[in-house]
Amino acid sequence: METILRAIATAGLLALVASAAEAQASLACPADAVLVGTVCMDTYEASAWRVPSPTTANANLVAKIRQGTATIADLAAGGAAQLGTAGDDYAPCADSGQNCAGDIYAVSIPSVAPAAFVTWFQAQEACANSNKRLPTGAEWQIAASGTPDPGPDNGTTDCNTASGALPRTGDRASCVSSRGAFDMVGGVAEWVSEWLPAETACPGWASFSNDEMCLAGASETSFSPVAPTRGGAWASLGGAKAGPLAIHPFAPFHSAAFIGFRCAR
Amino acid sequence: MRQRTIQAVMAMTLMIGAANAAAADVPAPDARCAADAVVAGTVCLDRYEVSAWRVPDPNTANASLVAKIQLGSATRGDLGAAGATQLGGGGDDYAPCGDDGRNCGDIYAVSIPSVAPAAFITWFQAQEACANSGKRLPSSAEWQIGANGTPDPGPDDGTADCNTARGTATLTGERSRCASARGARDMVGNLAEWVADWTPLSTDCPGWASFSGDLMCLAGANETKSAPGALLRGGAFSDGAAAGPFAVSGDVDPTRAEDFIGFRCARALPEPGRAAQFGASVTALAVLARRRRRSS
Repeated sequence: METILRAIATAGLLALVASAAEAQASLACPADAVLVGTVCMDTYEASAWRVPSPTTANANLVAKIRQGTATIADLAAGGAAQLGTAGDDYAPCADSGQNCAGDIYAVSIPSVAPAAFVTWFQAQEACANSNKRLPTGAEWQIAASGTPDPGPDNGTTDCNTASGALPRTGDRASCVSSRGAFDMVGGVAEWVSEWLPAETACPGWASFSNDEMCLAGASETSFSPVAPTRGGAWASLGGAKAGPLAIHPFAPFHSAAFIGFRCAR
Repeated sequence: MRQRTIQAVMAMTLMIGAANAAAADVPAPDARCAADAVVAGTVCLDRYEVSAWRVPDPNTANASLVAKIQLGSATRGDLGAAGATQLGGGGDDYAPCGDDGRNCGDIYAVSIPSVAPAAFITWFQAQEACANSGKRLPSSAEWQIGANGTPDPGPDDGTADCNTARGTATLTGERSRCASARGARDMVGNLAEWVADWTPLSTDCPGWASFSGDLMCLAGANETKSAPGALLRGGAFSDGAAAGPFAVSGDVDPTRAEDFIGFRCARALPEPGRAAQFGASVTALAVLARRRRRSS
């Protein structure tokens, strides 16, 4: 009896020590993310990778992706194929998110093309496969805070809001938020998790900001809800309309060259 | 020797609990959350409406104060000793922290009793203050479970009932009956509280009909106003019977700062398995100690 009690006591005290260590660690995030309030937000817009044999030959690579330590070299060595850089090449992972489980992985690394042409459903699947999720609008907002609101894009260090070409993650050195996330403004517009009735107007923010604001009205006839994208983009949602307050919803099955995402955990 | 060790560990555990309780001047909290918060489902929700503090030198001289704030153990004495300045108690004095949340790296949200709650604060500033304290705004659903059980106001007696008729804010936790089933104070009345959710700006306030007398202004969707709505919960110090645990408004935009609007923050609960293991450990230690006493 005493041996059992002693074992329980020891296990509990070890758990306490581990909890203290976790509490300390929770003030830090994995290498691929920045701490924002209570979540670890991906430092970079997600790039999407198809990992062959994810549960067998590449189980280690998937573990690294989930731990936030996978590098582009690791992905190449595992034979992973990058998706969504030049077109909608996610099939068999479908717009609805079907057949995406255990197939496409979201990775937050610098100097690669961010995933575009991706629906909300596919983005969510890619995050989930990497043991992450899409952030809420509020989480996105606090992570974006402090990113310069674009004036003209100088083409080198400013947020990519006017390049007319698909950006590369983290390439624009000044496009960083107070808490260290890159490309929250411009680059690809980023899906967040919420759904809403379809908007009917884009009245903007008036004198508060020149960023786009299309969270207004509620369609009674639209055949789809919408999910907001945030931050604006390099193309269609670019220029002065992009910024940390930019919000533009799309149907969750919509995909475009200027829409991507980042994940949180 | 072993018995002394066991007793020392138990005494230490009790002292930690007592210190946590004393820090917030409240009964011993559920150990799964820090002393400044109550357990509400899967989150630790601030026990009190937030007071906002500007902490000088947060990364250097006052790094330990910031750590205490983030761990939920900072007291008013700690804040005073470090030269922290309280904000938003009597006007909009957050600058250089901007209405849009820029330059807000030095304001911290603190959940402590008997201080003026932070008002005159935009949704963006509130979110920054939570994030600097290692927290976030709760979702409306999280707020709801935190508020459940708070008395839905009849007349405010001006002393113990929720503050729904005073016309100005009271100090945090001052109204003794204004506590929720899970121990959060002032969820109803005092300051209406920002939560994380945005919506198209609401256009109507049809109320809850026979379900409740509380405010319900989450209806319709404005097509012309140049801002979304951010949800407010609980009603405020002038809302009378319209304040309550079901009070919700979607007709206030996140850029507004008003004397009747404040907030509280939330953080995630620690892994439940760990807390259970620790509880079992303390129980086992107690049984072991008792057996030793009997056998000696």
